[in-house]
Amino acid sequence: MTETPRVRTLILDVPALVGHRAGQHVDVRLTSEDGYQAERSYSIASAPGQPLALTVERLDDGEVSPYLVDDVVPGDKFELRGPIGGYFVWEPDGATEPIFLVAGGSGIVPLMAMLRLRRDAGSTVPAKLLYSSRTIDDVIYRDELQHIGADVEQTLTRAQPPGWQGYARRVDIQLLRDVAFPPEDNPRVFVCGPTSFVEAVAEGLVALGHRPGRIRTERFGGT
Amino acid sequence: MTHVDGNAIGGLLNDVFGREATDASGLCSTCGAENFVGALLVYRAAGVVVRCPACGAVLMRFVEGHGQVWVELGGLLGSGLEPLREGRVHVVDGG
Repeated sequence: MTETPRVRTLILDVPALVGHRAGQHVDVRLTSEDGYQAERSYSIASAPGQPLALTVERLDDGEVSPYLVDDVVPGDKFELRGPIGGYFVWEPDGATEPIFLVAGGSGIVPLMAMLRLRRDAGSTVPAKLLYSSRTIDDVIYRDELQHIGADVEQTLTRAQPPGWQGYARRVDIQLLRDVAFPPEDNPRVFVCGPTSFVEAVAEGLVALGHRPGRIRTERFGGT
Repeated sequence: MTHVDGNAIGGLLNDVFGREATDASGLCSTCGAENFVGALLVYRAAGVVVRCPACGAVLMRFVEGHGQVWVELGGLLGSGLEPLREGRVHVVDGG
């Protein structure tokens, strides 16, 4: 399924896979004919209980993502390791504190798994998503986000379409102050995106009075 | 060099420790900061270097090659993790 010109969602049929948790990733390993191996991590987009879906952004100098976004066809096989991760994970475990999710670019993927789980489980935990993209065409899950059942705020940092109602700048402390649950609500916070984005958001939230121990981050680097 | 965080090496840590490790806590032997493994700073080059987010000290090092993983955990004062000592994992520094 094509999400944006650079992003595609793959549904994988993995017979031996044990159930995954929202926020986890898998490692994909490709082996070329000469034995060279490349391995990268991709977040799981689907809610637990659903078929394993990976949403992958093509990095033009990447070794794995161009294959997954442009070349893979139904029936192809490749190696997977996982599901992996127990830190950047959310479960509707009976806790009532709100969740505040902050995504930069394809950092939306593990957070979408959490929002889908929350929806599917009928959780009433208040949830807000702050999602930063470059342009409207880069927004992943654009339609589904409109009825995900959470409060979704978006910012477009590079260009905005006519009549855009959302924010139009990089996430800064004032934007976080406007959007985030107040620290007194003791929200659980999950931040995922490029390293510089994650650090800016986490530092901003701490400056606003959020406890560092409530903020969980997942940074992704280059390729 | 940019870094990612401990989540990114969850698969490698699974191989080394034989269990999910990102939600274990690790104690820095330099500054005493305690952090979840998933929140540590990870630098990748020829190998993997894991640093303390509070003080930057090296906590763990991993080098993979020839189907084996060499592990050095000297910067960790303690954690809930005990590395495997068989098969493809070699603990260099006593762990």
